[in-house]
Amino acid sequence: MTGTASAERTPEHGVARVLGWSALIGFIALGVALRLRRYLDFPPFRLDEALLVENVIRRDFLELLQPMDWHQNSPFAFLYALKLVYLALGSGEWQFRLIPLVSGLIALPLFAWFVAAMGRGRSARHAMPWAVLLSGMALFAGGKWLVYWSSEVRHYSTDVVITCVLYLMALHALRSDERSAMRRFLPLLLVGLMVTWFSLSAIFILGGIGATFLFVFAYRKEWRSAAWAGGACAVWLASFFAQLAIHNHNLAARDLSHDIEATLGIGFLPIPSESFLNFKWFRETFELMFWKPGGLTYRGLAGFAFLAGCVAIAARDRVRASMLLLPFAFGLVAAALHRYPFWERYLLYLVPILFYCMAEGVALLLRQRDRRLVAAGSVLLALLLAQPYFRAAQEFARPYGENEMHELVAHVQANWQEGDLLYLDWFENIPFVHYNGRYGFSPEEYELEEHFCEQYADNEAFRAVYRARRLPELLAEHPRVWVLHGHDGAPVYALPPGEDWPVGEEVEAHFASGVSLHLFVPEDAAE
Amino acid sequence: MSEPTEKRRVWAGPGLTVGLIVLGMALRLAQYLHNRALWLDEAALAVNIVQRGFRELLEPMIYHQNSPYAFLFSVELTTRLLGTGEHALRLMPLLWALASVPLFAWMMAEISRGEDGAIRWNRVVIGTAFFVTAKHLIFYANELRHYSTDVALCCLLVAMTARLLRHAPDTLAFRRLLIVLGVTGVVSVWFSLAMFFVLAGAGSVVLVCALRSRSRSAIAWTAAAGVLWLASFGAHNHIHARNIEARNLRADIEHNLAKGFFEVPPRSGAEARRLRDGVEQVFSYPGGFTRPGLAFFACAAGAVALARRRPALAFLLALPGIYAIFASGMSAYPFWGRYVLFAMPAMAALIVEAPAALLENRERAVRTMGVMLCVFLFLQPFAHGLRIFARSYDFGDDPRPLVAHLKTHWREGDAIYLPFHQVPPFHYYLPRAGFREEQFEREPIFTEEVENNEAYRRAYMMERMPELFAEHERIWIVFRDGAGHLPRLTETVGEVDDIGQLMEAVPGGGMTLYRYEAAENQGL
Repeated sequence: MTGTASAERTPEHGVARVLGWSALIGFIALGVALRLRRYLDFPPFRLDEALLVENVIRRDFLELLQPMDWHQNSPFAFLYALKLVYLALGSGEWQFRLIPLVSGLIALPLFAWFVAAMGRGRSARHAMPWAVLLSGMALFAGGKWLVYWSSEVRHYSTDVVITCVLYLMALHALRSDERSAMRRFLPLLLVGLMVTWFSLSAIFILGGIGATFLFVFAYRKEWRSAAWAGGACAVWLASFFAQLAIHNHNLAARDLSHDIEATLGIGFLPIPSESFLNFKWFRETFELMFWKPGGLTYRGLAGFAFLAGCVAIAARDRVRASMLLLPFAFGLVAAALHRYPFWERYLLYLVPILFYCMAEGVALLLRQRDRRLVAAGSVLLALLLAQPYFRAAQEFARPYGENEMHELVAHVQANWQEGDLLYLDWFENIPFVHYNGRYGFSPEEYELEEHFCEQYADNEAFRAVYRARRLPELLAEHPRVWVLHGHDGAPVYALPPGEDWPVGEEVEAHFASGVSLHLFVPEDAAE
Repeated sequence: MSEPTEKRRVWAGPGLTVGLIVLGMALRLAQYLHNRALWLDEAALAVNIVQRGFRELLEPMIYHQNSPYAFLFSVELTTRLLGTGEHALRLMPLLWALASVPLFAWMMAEISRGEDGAIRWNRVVIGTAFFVTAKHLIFYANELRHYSTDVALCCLLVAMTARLLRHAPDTLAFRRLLIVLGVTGVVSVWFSLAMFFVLAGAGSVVLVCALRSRSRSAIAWTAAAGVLWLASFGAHNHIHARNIEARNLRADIEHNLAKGFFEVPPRSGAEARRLRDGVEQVFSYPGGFTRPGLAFFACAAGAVALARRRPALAFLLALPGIYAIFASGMSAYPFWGRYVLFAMPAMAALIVEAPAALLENRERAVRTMGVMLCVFLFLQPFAHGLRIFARSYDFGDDPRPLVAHLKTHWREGDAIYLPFHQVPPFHYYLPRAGFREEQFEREPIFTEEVENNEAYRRAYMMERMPELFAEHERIWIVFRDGAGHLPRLTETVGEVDDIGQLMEAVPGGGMTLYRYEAAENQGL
């Protein structure tokens, strides 16, 4: 006898069941509403999105396999899907964000299904794990970055769907009493083969599933199943390496290794380092994972709930625990090899696992007979959810774009004078190019800042100094220069330490979300 | 179970607790023996104590200093007996800190007792392990301030109240303990302002227990104790308030401690967020927890768990903090940092309840969760506490080498100019080296009513320099390394800068001592 309320006590019928289903549907509806709200606000493309969009627009299918402009990389099947949507529906924000949105929406019921399947134990006949399911759905529906990446032209929300699908199929293959091994494993093998082209991170999930299958079936001496698992692993690896070969070729063609190290180095495991096991990196990366991409403010608390959930899952079913945790290990190995960063949005594919494990941790407390622990579980869940939902409510009431440039450009157009010049810094460069068909500026009326890639130690600072040199040159030729400045953390311009020269007089400044507009005139003109 | 095993089990809890008490005392003593220099706040108080007699300590002090009067008297007494060195000045805070360690263990033992009266040693050990290595408790054990006194007295009063609550209100034992608690309370408010909150919490809980028992004598005794506490606190506060008024410090206090004052109850989302951040911040400083969110969870869950086991004790521990938040709402007491150090014993006792409840569960996964919670909460503070055993816990500012340099290179007719932040430490150390007060000029305190205080001080100094050079050939100035808001200074000896011609720059103790002579064009 343990202190746990047995599964049989869980009310599976009557009012409780209706309440459970209602809450589940409510969370899915809430998740849909949050994702749609942001999508339907149609914020302008920010730099990263515009870079990918312009590549997709300008290239044909074959060229999308070749090195893309502006250091862009994305899974090829995802690029092709974007290209198809562009050809079928056009080039607006809603068209390009349609696939991420659909992925974000599909992920909601899929995650619920994944949690239910994982939490039910070895038999599908076990009672529905309501505490786990509803805790997990509460986290998932309001997950800040899940909502965010559901309306960004990137493949990260697709990663989330793929994680859920792969685990559901793996659980089905594990539980299936199908006599034909081919029927049991072939669907998973084929889907695995396909998804490696949609998501680079899918290989870590497939690795976790494949390695677990291999070990479990070999341990049980089910050699036929083990052979299928081994075959599946080989096929997945072959598919993944085929895509990787093209990626590597493209990276080598553009000599991007330095650029990647500069921008993503923070996500690479510091080996070799001063101390072989850099505990600080592990600790900080572990906790950071719950903020980005987890979206949870209390990282330590979330980490605790996650580990408690891992313990609960491992105590119940080590096979599931292995499938769920091995992707973290493979991800770390890839980070140690500097092949895939263990950092921020690149980890969005792990969010279903994070939230499921955390939900198990919360449910471990909620299902106890000891009311003190039930209260502790409630406090834990409330603290985990309070801030994400507060923020979600704020963003629902007032969605924000990260590059609200349209109004500022309209201001420039309304106040344009003969001889003016519009200067676009790097963050506004490609978004402006994308929208210029709508704005209608002629090439001599604007200047685009160069792309100084990450070869400079402090890129933002370098650009600020560059602008301090370029502005006086432009003001020598134009009476007024409008600067559209993306918020990259750098000032509009900066003079190098110890140096001083007249840059120009700023006579107007306007600010919008993620972008600002500044009007400069020569200093003597201002006087 | 065999007899030796049973014996070991019985003695493990007390044995570990005693070991931890010894460790806690050693950690505090080690800091004391490092004998770091007095820094700004300490030196400001030290100058007042050294220069004044007992009676004058009741009057408004210089450098905006305030401290409970019994604490000031006890330090004054120590300096009369042992001299005015750092060790003598910090002896009382150290003794209170040393006393707080066993007092905390006693408090935990009283709190942990179940209905059967047996001590739950797991709680005592976990709580004491955290308490003895908590970095801010160790720091304030070696600081000329009354905060370690706050902690020790809080442990004492809570332990006494918890013991009192074990007795029925109509018993003789209850009355006897109440008398002892009453007297201790009357005295304690003269040692620590924050004890008002602890006594208010204890009084509230004891009064409710007395009211529920309907024992008239218990109600009367409790009310009498409350009145005495109020009278004692009122008398102390009267002197305190008079001194603040005499120096017109109200605006200054509100400006400096604004971060500790909240709108209670909050009237806007922003204010609610500020209050939440303020409460969370307390777990980080002075709590010393690396993950304040987790500590906040453990505290809330622990309070709920204790409320189910012994509700009176849960209120006894939680009410002082709640009252302090309300006081901050009235701008009467800052709910911030060291001012809330008094609440650390209660905070620790509440937090310990959460892992303890998990560890008592029969399910292995839940017990593992309890172990993880302990590791997540306590490992880093524990490791940090042990790490500072070997080194001094200081700010890097040590005026002593520079004072020694001044002593050996002093010439008749020299003058020392002390910018505001250096005034109290040098005011303490220069006279100890034989300097007379007229030999050093102290920059005045331009209180926070001046809008840009730093800029204002800089301008004042630049105006004062030519006047000083008119009377003195050589001016010595001390600046803290890396300090902002300075005039334009040269680093090269022989060059002229905004002050004069730099003749010598002596670094030491986190500061640099500059010797200037008038530049040829000075004053032109």
